[in-house]
Amino acid sequence: MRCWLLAALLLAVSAERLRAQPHPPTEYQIKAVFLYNFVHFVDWPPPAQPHQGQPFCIGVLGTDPFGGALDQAVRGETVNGHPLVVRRFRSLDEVRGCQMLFVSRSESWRMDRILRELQGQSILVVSDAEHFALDGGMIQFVTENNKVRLRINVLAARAAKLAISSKLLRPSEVVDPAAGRS
Amino acid sequence: MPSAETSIKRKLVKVILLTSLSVVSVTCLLLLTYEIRRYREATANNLSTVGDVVAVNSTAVLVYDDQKSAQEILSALRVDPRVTAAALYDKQGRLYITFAPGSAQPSVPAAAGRDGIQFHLLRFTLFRPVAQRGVRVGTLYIEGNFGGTYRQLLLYALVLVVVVALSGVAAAILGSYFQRRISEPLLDLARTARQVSKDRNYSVRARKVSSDEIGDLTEAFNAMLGQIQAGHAAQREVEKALTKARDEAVAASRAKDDFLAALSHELRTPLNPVLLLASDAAANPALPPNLRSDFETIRKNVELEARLIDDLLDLTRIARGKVLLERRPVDVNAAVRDALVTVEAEIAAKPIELVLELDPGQPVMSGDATRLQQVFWNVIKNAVKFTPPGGRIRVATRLRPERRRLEVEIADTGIGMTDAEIARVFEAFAQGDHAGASGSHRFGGLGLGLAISRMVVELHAGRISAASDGRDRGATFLIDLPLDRSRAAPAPPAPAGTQPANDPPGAAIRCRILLVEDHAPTRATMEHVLRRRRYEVTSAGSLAEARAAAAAGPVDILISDIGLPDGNGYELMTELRDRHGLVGIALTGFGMPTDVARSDQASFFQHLTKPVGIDLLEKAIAAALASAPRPPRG
Repeated sequence: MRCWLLAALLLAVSAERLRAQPHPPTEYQIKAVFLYNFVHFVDWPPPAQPHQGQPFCIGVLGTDPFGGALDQAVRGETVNGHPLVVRRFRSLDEVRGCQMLFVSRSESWRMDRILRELQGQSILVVSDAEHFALDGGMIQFVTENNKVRLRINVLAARAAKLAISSKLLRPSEVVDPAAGRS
Repeated sequence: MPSAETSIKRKLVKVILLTSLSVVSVTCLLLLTYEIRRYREATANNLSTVGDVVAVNSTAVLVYDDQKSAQEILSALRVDPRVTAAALYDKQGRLYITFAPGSAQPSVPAAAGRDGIQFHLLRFTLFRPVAQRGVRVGTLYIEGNFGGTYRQLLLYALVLVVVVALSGVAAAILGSYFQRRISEPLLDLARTARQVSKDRNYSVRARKVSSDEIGDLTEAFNAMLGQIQAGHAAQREVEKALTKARDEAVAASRAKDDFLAALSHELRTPLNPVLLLASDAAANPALPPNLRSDFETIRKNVELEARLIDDLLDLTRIARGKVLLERRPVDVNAAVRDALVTVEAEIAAKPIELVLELDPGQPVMSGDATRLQQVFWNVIKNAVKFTPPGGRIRVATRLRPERRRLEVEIADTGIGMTDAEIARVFEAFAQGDHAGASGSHRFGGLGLGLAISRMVVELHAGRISAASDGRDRGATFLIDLPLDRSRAAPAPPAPAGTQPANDPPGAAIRCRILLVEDHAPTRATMEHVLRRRRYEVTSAGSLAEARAAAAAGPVDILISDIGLPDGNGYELMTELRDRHGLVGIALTGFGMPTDVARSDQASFFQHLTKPVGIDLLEKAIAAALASAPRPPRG
């Protein structure tokens, strides 16, 4: 009888803890998951796809704001049989063999150059830097009312021969730099 | 019988109705079940398709947490009227967004359930994975009702009910038509059978209308009728033959009776003068004693012969049920005593000790005194016959009021009986071995007495039984008789057949007798004997002579034979009584009860059966004269 009471008490306490434990995810935790999920909604042209035995690479250029959240998000995941890996780069020259590149805000000052350099390569370029999509980036994370939203420059993606699923466009804001904000 | 008619009709219609209705109902039920399944499958397929569209569209909005878009996508389900609620769950199965077109508060599961469609009575639920490129990102939940489906099914069921009702009506109509084809021949058959049994006319035949089983039945029935008809005819012939045989037998029996009566008459008639003369001579004091003794022997043997003839006739008559008992209250003690009187002399002669134990109460029963006395006499006589000198005979009567019976026991110390003899002792002509087959004939007799006794006792609703411990150990006869309920005072016992002779007193002419007898030797003997006893006798041989004699001289009493050449004694008696006031005694060889009754009717005072001893005749004369309505003419 006493045992049961103790067990019930312990259970109640642990239930309280469990409920308290999952803190609302941080902004970059969300962004990491979002970033990872692009692999499901974007089609890469065959040459840009990872070669046999090569991993699918998500690169982070500049200071990594995820703090391990991205590694956590891709851990154990695969794309078409290719394991997902995260690589971090200090300069653009180092970026090789990546299908997706997140450009940190730390690189805002040389964003134009980066985008220009990456032109013609089938790399999905994502950033949360301001005006990124309008400035020629493909997908920009925008934080509105504590929610992370997507802003997509379809033309830029198309120029890079990347096919973005129309499904992805539904929860996103599509921009056209030529026409200004759509 | 209308009830049978309606019942068979009703049964047939019922069978047809039930059969068709059950077939239609089962068919309809199967159809309905099939339709329900079909509707469910259609619903499931339909919903899966709708769910596919919604699920495919909701992947990105789920992944990128766009509630507004998710709401829009779910709202697309509005177009399907069956959908009552929908919801999206995230990758972890947590409720993400709900949709309810009807109600503001949709009741959807808090967490995603197992994938698949589930049918409930009125609604269904569907959990469907939401996946992008094979990666599950969430779950879609759709809940709908069968409202429309059920309305359709209800319509369907209504149609089926109408079908069932219509087929019922059709079955009833067709049934009542077809049942006629079955029941009509049956009813026809029944009518024929009733007619046959009512009219006993086996020549009618049932009409065969069909060649099915009923036709077979009709044929079989007709065949049966044919057999009955044939059997009936044969039976009638047998009956006719039996009737003929019976009539012949009755005629033969009557002829036999007549023959027996005639035989007895003819046998007795010659005995009459012998007995008269012998008894007269034996009682004649003028004769020397040794001669008288011889005459006495003659008398005894003639009486024995007459008794044998009587027994033979009795046996025949009793066996044929021709004996009518004259029932009157009878004192059994008195009857036993009277029976003993006739054998006293024999008992004393042997000598045998006689022990008499008569019940002091009044053992009175209803019966024929003469016959009962005959029974006791037979049994006692039997005991005397088989008991050697120095033996003992015990005669006892016992009242058994508790059983309403009385018993007469006659026990002797005689030669006894073996078991085989006991078994046959009451059979006619069956004397024990000691008496018959051994050839000694020491005891004589035909063995009729006990057979007659048993018959008479049984006629009185009694029983007679014999017992013996074996050869030379004596025998005991027990006669068990019903006690008279009324217990009325017994009538004086009828006069015994033979009584010790009394010498006629006086020397003067005692009376004038008209003797009518056609048998000349008898007439002459009687005349002679009566005259010797100082009666004045006028004799006649025919009716005419008798009339003349009666007219010619004064006569006190008529003693007449019955069978006369020109008429009978009855006529004569009636005539002479009416004309001259005569009393009369019938003296005839005809001893049948009917003859006695006719004598009574013809107002004879007494009916005597030949042969008759002189003493008995004298007694009768005295009694008749005493009863005469007026003193004899001087």
